[in-house]
Amino acid sequence: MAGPDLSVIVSGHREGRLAVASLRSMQAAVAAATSAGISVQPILVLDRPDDLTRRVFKAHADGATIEVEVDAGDQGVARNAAVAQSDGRWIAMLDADDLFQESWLVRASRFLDEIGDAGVIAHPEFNYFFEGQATIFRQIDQDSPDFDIDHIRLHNYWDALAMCDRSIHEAHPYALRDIQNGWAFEDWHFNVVTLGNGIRHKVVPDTVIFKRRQKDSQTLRATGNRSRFRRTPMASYSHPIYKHFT
Amino acid sequence: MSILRVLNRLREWREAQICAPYFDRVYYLQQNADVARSGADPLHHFLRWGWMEGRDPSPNFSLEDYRRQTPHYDPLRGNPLTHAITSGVLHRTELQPLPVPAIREEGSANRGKDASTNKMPSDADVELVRQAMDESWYLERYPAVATSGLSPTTHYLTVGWKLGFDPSPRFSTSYYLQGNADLRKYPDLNPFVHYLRHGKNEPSRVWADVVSAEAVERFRDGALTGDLRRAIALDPLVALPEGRRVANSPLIHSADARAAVRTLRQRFAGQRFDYVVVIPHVRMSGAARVAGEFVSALSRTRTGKRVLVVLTDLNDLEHPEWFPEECEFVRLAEFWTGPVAEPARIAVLLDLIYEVEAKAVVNVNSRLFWNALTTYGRQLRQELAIGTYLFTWEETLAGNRVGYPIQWLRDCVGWMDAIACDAGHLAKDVSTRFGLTGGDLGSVHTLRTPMDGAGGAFRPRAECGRRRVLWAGRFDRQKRPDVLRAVALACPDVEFDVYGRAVLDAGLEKQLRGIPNLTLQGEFDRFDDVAGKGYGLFLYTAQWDGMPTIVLDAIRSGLPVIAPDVGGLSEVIASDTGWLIESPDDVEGYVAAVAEALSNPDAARLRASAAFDKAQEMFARDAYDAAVAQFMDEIDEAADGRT
Repeated sequence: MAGPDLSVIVSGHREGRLAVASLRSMQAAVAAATSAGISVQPILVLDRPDDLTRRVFKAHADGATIEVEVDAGDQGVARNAAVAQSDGRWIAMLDADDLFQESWLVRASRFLDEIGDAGVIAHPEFNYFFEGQATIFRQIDQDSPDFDIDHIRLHNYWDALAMCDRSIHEAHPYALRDIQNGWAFEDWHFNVVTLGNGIRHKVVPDTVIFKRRQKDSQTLRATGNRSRFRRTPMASYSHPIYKHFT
Repeated sequence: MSILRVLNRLREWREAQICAPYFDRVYYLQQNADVARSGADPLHHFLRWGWMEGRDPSPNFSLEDYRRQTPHYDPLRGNPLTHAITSGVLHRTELQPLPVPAIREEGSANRGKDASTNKMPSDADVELVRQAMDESWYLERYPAVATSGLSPTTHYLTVGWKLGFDPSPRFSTSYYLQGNADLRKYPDLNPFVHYLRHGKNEPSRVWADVVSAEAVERFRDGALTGDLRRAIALDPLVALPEGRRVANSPLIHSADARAAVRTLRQRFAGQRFDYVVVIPHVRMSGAARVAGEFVSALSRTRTGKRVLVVLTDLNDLEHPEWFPEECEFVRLAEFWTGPVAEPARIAVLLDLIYEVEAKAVVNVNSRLFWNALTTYGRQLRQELAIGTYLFTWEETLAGNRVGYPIQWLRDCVGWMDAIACDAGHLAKDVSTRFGLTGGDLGSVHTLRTPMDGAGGAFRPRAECGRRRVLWAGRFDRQKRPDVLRAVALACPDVEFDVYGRAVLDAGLEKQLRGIPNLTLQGEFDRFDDVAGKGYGLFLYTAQWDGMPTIVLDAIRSGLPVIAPDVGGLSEVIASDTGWLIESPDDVEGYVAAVAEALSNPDAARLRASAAFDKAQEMFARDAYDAAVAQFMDEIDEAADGRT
């Protein structure tokens, strides 16, 4: 029997009731996708959760939802574990304090369908930061003239809340985070590694994910902790990808 | 008031709103002295009477030309300027020709001082904007410009920016003005010129590329408004914080850093280097010279290995001859068109080190790399081998020791795979303070800078007994020009020739002016050029030091040396090899030594010869190469264990 079109992975740990809005946004986006004829498999993954977050997640699971719990203390590992449980042709990620645009799953699925290339990652055009930060971050399409292959070594272009073929995640699991030793930014690392392996990062027009920026967000903690991401194959002027750029 | 008068007032008010951005008040008053004398508001005068009297509203807009070139314009329906704006001739979305004749192209004699008005901008502004502007994009986005007779740059600098046109997809004119409220106080300020000259280097400035800037509107009143409302319905916090949303994108980061990583990748495409040596600059300084010696030793002792030398702090490469001929240099500062934040500079440096696949980095006094190590030492240590080459500490005015061997080493000693010092006393100090006593605890290498000419015979070039003294070095606080001055004043029958310049501390040179028996001779390229000019001795003054290469130069030249007992100087200068002054402040001691050395030429010659023999042994090139090889063995071994 063929699997669902799409597996939606929501990862949480100690978001508590903040996860309610995220899970409701996920349900709305799933409902919109279902209405559009896209079959969706929700996967809720918890990593060292507190009791409240576990109960909130449980309350938003139905019979079709796959529930995964890991003891990793590492969001990348949690996502990898969820991917291993997924059956969808595509994978979409959400963190349990962020919100999906209601039409995101539909738009991204159609976008990937039209491209018809399993080697493409679809990113929302914008990340709309709220609560602790009032910014609208524009993500750059790799095929846009604004994309600069060298710049990705200095700054991350895309975050992890994207949609792509499951095989991409299977071939490129998230690297271990090791804050103690200064390693984080697993999404940036994932982007550089996939880019180096010929995966194309594209943005879906008129799409957005709403991202809560809290004072103690993992990204801010990683920045404050002076983290870096581990060396990738693209850390070499001899990497073949540079031959495609002047 | 009659209804007609009310309507007329309303019409005038509306016209004033429309025309104000294009109306040059200063020009109008300059051209119309009667209006200036009357005290009337110039715009009000123009709208009510001036345009009918043929008084131009701006040097860039000729009423007569407009009437002649715009057949559909009807004077009965209002003034030409209002017509030009409202009929679409000046409107950004219309394709009508702009009022060409009144606007002069570059080269006009009537150039203004800046791009702040729609007068002609200065050459500097034109050049600045031309380089940053995307002219083909501008023409594509605003097709009317093509028929205006103006170059895109001129068009933008004169009328374009006032119409809210954007000079490039990388810069939104309106967003810059909206986001930087302080600039709006200056209505004639061209936002792009301000950005290029100042804003891009001011961290508090808000700017955005055109698409990102337009995104704010798309959420406020556009394709994404409904999505935002639905998200707010799920969680009202999505609407917070209230106020203006800032557009952000990967493009909003240091353009200099982006250009640097791209240019470096293009330059070194496909190349690998085994070692990167980071140095602050190659100015006239002992450390830079030692860096040259070190890289030369690497080329002798690590045959076949490629070394990249990166100048991290300043752009000066004044003495490439100190380095091997085949040496490749990168000067990071050449990429910085303005102040670039240190994190961006560190990112570029680390990117280069990684991209050339260096397995080890040796730091020879680079401030940027010390700071990179302070921030990212634990990660770099996991992926690279790291060595550092230490020179003397510095002293504060209060006499306390500071500098790389003190605070920086305190933060970074844990990330070092090998440490080298240029003098034995420093190696001993570092190993004692940090417990680098050998074995697992690590050790400190002493790399005694080779003396030029070591291995040759002693060929004294001094004219011992001649009452001429040579001093050469930097006019910096460390080198105590005040002591030199006091000694010269106390020895009026001795001539002092002083070579050098200030490097770190400006203004100290003036202490050496106006002394009858002291002559400032300027800079020198090679010590040999001055050493043979008939000096009786070499005088060295300093408050603190390592092993100054200039003293070795003097010894090599056969000059008797007087030097203070600071740093590593006592390792080579003693009572049988020169005159060692106990305290750097001891002017009387210096004066006595000068008198003794000059009045006893045989003793001076003997001590110079003994100093040469001692230095020959201590500072032999072979010994240096062997010490460098040991230092690098330690680094290579560490590198082999890294990922």
